[in-house]
Amino acid sequence: MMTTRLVTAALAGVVLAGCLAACDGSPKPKASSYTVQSVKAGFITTGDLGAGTIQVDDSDHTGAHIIYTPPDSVPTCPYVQRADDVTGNVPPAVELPGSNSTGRFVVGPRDPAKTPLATVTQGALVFKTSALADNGMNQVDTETAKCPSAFTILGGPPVIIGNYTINSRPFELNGWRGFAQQLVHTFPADVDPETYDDLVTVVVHRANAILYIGYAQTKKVGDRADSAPKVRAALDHTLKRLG
Amino acid sequence: MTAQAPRQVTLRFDEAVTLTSDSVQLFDADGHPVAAGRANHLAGSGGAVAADLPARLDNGTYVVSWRVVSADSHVVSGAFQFSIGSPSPAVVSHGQQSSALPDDVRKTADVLAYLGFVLVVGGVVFLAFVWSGADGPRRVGLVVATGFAVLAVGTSLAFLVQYPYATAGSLGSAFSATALHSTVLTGLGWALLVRLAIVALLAGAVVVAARGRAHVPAQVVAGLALVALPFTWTLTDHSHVGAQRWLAIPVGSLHLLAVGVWLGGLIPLAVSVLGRLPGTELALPRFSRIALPSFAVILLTGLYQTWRQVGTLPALPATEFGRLLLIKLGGIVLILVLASQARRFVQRSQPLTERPGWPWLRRSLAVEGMLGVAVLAVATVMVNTSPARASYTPPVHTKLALPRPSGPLDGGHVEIRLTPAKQGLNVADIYIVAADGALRAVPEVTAQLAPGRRSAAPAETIKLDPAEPGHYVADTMSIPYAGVWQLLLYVHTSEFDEASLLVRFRAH
Repeated sequence: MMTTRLVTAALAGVVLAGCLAACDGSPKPKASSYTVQSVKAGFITTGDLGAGTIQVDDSDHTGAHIIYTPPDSVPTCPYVQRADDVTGNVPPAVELPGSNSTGRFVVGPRDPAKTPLATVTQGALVFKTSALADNGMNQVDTETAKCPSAFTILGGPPVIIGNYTINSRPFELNGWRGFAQQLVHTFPADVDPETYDDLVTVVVHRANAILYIGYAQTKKVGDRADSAPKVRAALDHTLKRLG
Repeated sequence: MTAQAPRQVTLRFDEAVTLTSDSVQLFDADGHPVAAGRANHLAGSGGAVAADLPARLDNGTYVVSWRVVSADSHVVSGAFQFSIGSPSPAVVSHGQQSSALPDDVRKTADVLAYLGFVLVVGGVVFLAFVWSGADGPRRVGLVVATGFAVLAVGTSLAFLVQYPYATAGSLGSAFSATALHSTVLTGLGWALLVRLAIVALLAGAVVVAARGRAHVPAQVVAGLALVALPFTWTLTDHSHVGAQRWLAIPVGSLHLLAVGVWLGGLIPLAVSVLGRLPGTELALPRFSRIALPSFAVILLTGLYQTWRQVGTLPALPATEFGRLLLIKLGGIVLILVLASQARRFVQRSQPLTERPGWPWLRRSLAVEGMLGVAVLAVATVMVNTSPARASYTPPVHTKLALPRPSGPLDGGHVEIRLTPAKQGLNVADIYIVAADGALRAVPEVTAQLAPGRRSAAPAETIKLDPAEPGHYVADTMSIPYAGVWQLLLYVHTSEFDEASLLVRFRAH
């Protein structure tokens, strides 16, 4: 009886030790470990975002086509296709061959105008191998580098006209690496001098997957943009589900 | 970007590194390997590595992939690109892909070696100083024998797997003559072989001492072997890297020894208590007397190691090493609570088995043992994690009041954040904050970065772009080298007012 208990305890101890040693705190990519289904566990859900939000499958892009990008593409410079002062070929998004897309999902309030809740647009691409995903991320980086630090949209619906400023910084969380691109949209003074749009697009890569999350909210002029820390906090929770 | 093909690539590390045959590899933009010379240390420096490049390299982008073994015996790897003439349109990423298996086997070997060590040290000390049963306690002896076996297997495994681990090779390469020869030439290889020799010596001494109770030479050899054993870890781990090595190595060894005496002793104690072995009554208070000073040593040496490897309190939650240390401390606190209650129980004068809390003590000892193993596992993980002192860089975050008059911004301040405040690419966030706390856009903000005050090097203009109103970002700020730097800010608070501000900071 006692021997059984001791053996059980010893085995449990060794298993625990092994588990702890394996989870050494520096998460390393698992080779080709994600599937189109499994990578969705890293998406921000209505539960993560808060009460009063809904989730919409935007894969067929039933929403407005003002700023259309293919639903299986990765954003590299949102809104730039409507810019009036950008010369040269600066793509708003890049399509990566050899990947399978989860499609695009939007989580946000039913009516963003009536609530301070953020709107999240997200999707992922899953590749057959990690090397293909590496190359895909390189391509994303290359295209993102072409995004100008500022541009202006003069025409179109009032919700998109105004000045856009862009900055980008490295992003790393739970073994996922990439960048967080902040885009700030201020309206012309005669349209709306009180608020601005604060959009952060995080594109991260790990193993055979590339994941993107656009986190948008409206802020009052004078307040700090805080989409970046908010999306980090949300991803800190959701990316752990992916491992 | 270079106009002409470089003839040599040089890598500089802040500690000495060990090289393997493939430590530096060169790939073209398509990911095909390009023959480069074998990497060698530059004369007189264990931390500088150079490899010759081919005489003729075509224009385009190349990837240099490197993989070395750090001074604390862990693999460090990375890659960087350079372009000749003009960059290639697309570059295939090609780092030195490592198989996860040698890495996992090495971690398993580490855990086994630590487990074996505590069982051996604790078991031997338990048999020598705690156990008083005249007859050989077979179960306790079995624990010690298991410890010897586990320690020998873990150490042997660590030796064999070192080559595939260091070279990102397959496990099959572990038994080749090249692999064994290569590992023997490293400090870690020597330490592992010495450990195996000490284990054999200790095992022999324990067997001899167990047969003849007063065999003094065997006892002396066993004592010396016990003291020498932890040095085979501390001479190759974090203890022998960084400041105060002369103190860190003996303190680290003492820490390990105390952990072995206490945790390793707990296991045979649990065996004797759970098995109701005759002699347990005497063993409990004796172990209690040994456990208390052992724990004091663990605590004191642990505090020193914490200070040495963590440095500052903010590094605790901010780094993986710090978080692991907090988990380890949590486990130790739980063990302390259980141990203090057990000690109180043991100190009562009533016969142990007749006391009302006797079943509780048995469970408590089992839980203590389990927690001890968990703490040991966390410690093993910590050995494989970069110390917080090395990985943590305190962010630069400062607020400077705007001088008066500053027009509409009178009473306001400028907030500056610099991330990661390290050599290389950094991001600077400049917030212009009005007296009411709101961000306020200003006509213009410009910045310059200059070396510390002793340098005569010119200041470099930093490109600042506006973000949200009142927030300005430099997302491509490059700090060329570690040291003291100053960021000069010129804030045009109105058409007519300009404030100059200076931030001095240390880049790591």
